[in-house]
Amino acid sequence: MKNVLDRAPIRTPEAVWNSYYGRICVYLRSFAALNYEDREEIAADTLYKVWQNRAKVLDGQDCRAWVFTIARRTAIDRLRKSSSHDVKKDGALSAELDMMPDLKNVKPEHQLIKNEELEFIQTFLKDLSDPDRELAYLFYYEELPIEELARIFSLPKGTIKWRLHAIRKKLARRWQDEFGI
Amino acid sequence: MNSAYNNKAEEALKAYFCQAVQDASQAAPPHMLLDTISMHKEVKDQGKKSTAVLEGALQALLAVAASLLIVYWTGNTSSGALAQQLRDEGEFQRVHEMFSELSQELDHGLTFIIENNRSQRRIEMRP
Repeated sequence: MKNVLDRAPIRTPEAVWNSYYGRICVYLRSFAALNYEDREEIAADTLYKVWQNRAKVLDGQDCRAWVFTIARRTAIDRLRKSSSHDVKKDGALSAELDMMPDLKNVKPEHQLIKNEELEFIQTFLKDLSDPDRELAYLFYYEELPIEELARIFSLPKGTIKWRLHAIRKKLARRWQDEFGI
Repeated sequence: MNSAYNNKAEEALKAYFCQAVQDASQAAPPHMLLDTISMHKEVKDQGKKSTAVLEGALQALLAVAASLLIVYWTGNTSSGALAQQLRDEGEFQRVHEMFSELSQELDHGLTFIIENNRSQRRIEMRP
């Protein structure tokens, strides 16, 4: 969802924070091995770097791809250095319990999605790989074009298109199975 | 529309992310970034102060060395005894070695401070 602030000049730390903190935190939930504290730290680290390098962004330039590239690299660096992964007995990484927010407690007047659809989406996202979750967020919420996504992931445009196609097909099939529509 | 996709499902996914961002943005402590920036500034300022102290010490030492050299070469009558002492090669060599060692230690100290500031910045980024 494009935000008018995406093209606004970066004038104050508060503006950066208000515009991006929540979005970066949700994006970082794509990384199953990060816990809540990790995500907070990485989000703060990312916004600090954005603020320090704000001169690189021209007034009126859409800086979302740049911001999320910083967030992605910071998260990956953090994961490389971190040695505290939860490991199931079979060796697979376990999904963090706090990866998915408890949105069922949102007040009805602020609820944008029905509870049954919420549960479906959360299950669907949990079953995706980390990169596919990242792609889903950046494509569906940030509405970044394929070219920007290819740059963020350092992948060819064709690969991004193919992966998005696979995610969308899987989503459609699972929705059909669940709700019959 | 591509029949492999489902509009309702994709709208639900977008709505989910909208809700999640709304929720996460409300939970954000607004002072965190400002604290992080001011913490980094403090670390940088401390590093600058330490560097300034070392630079000052180095300048003072170099000034003393320069004075000694002037005394040695001009043979000023009021510091005749000192000049005489410095003319002794052994004494002069010893003074030279002491200043060399001291300037090396100061150089190592400055390098340490610069490296420490870099790693300190990474540590201090944690709220």
